[in-house]
Formats: sequence, structure tokens, C-alpha cells
Amino acid sequence: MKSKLNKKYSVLVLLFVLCSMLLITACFPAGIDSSVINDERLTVIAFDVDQADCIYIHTPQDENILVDTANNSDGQEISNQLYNLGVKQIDYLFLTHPHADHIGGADDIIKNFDIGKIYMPKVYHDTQTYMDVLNAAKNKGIKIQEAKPQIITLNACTINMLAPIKEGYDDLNAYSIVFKLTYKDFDMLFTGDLPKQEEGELLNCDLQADILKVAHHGSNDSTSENFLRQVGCEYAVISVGEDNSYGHPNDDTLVLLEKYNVKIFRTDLQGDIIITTDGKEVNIENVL
Amino acid sequence: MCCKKAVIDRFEGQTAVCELENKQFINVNKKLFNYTAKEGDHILIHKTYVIRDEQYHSRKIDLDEYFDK
Repeated sequence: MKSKLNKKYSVLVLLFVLCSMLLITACFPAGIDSSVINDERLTVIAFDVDQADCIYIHTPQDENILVDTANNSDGQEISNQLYNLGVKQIDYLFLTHPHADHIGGADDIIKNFDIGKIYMPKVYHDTQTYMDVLNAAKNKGIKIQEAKPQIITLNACTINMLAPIKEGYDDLNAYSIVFKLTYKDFDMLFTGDLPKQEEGELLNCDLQADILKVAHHGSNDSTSENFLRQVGCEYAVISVGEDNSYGHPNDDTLVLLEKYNVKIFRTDLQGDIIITTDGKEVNIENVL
Repeated sequence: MCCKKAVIDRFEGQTAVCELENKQFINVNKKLFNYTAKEGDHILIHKTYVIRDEQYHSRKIDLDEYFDK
């Protein structure tokens, strides 16, 4: 009888331990933590945010930059990821253009963090998602900076904003903020969802970069051969959702990248993509 | 309710990605539109067709209120 009770008790304890472990795992999902940040290296993380964009940059001088904020439902999850990385303040928030898969989580991010400067193209979009971002900034007393060609000098890096260069586009993708991040000999080109036609307007700029954030999730509306040739990158990062219904990334884009021997990293296949560099050597890892 | 009110956030190929009033998103085939739609249009989504929401009046927003001068 006593042995039976002991057995029951052991099973209950075991169940309790298992449930507790499951609960802890659910509350604190595995992910990237602050150990990936090295104060002597530039770190760029393309978060796996399904069919959307969100890229975090940590500079060697401890500046935090966020490029896009994925969809509406992602704001809190991105905040949690940034908390795990030890981020308390975002010095620069770039919202490349007003589509919801790029700015959706921005209202949560603006509410949750101290924000330095917010850059957006000055173009109106009549969605609630867009208004929520404007109002979140206004409620915090932040005036948004208009994105236009300019150089932003950070402590150890520079951001050369190349676009948007014009107004009056029909397609909001055409307003995408394009910038080159430079740290010593390392360059990475961020392109938002810039279409091929507007890529053509940048061909006289210095586009050369080690890594290209492929525009528009690898759509064949973006990444022309001329543009890719000018960038001359060794690596490409594609932020894209697994089995998305839009056919991203397009086969033509992948074939073009392969033609130029570009090594492709995809968030749908490889999860979070972590790039670190000392300004010379580049290391790219992924976390599924 | 006869239809869903939405606004076109963007186009992805033949798909209009639309924001509903509750900020959820749905994909609508462009073939269902009875007119040439563009981003930011407010629409009424019926089961087999989509029309412009003629009752909707755009917000009057001055971006200078939100952007640094």
C-alpha cells in the first residue's frame, strides 16, 4: 500500500516537473540573447518575422538601430526579442515605407522603447496601421524625420541614405528608404521594397556592398541585373515567409543571385540571420 | 452584414492585401474588383465582387503635424 502511494506520488511529482518545464519553455521561448552582441563588432540581425521585414543593428559604439517592424501582430514579439538582446533604447528607427508588413509593429515599438529618431518617407497612406504609427510618435512627442538623401554619422559607422529621392510615385514601394551602412571596410545595402524602376534611379550612386538585403522579399518586381551588378555583393539576405501565397522569393531573383555567385540567406529556411563583422571579416549564422 | 469594409494596404502580384476595420488583414484577388483599384482605396468586399466605398471620406491629415520641418 505504501509502495503504491509512493509510486503515485512520484508520478505526480514527475508530471508537475514536466508541466513546469513546458510552462517555462512556453513563456520564455528559445531565441537570441545578448550573448550575440559583441561591443567590438557590428551586429545585424534579420529577424524571422514571416512575410515581413524587421532588421536590428547594433553598432560597436552601442547604438541600436531598427529597420522596419514587421506586421501589426509582431510588435510585442519584436519588443521581447529586443529585451532579450538587452536593448532599452532605439537610437534610430527606420520605417522604410508605409506598408503594413514593414511598419505594422512600430506603434508597439514606439510605446515600449525610448526612441531617438524616426525616419520615414513623407507620404500619406490611408490605413489605420499607418495612423497608429503617426499617433504613437506624436503621443511620445517625437517629430518624424523625413527620409531623403543624407548622411547620418554614427560613432563608428555611417548611414548613407540614398532614397527616396523623389515624390509623386504611384506605388508606395517606390518611396522605400534605401541606405548603405558602412563600418570600416564593411558595407551592407538596405533596400526596403524598392522596385526595379526606382533601382534604376540609383545606378549612378555608390551601391557597392558586401551584403544586400534583397528588396521586396525576393519578388521579381525588384533586384534588376544592373542593380545587382552594381552592388556586387557576396551575400544576400531575403526576409520572407515560409510557403507564402505571393510566390516570394521569385525563382528569377534566386537564379539571378546564383548567376552572380551570391550566397543567399533566407529567413523562411534558416530562421533569424545573424551577421557580425569587425569591419573586415564577415560572419553569418542562423538561429532556427 | 452584406460585405466587409476594408482599405487596400498594398498589392502583391494579383492579390490586394486589405486591412479590415479590426486591423486584421485579408487577401483579395484583383479579379474581384469592378474598377482599377489603387493602394489606399477604401472598398466594400462582397462575396464575389469588390467595389469602391463611395461613402468613405478620406481623413484630413496634415503630415506637417507629425514630421519635423
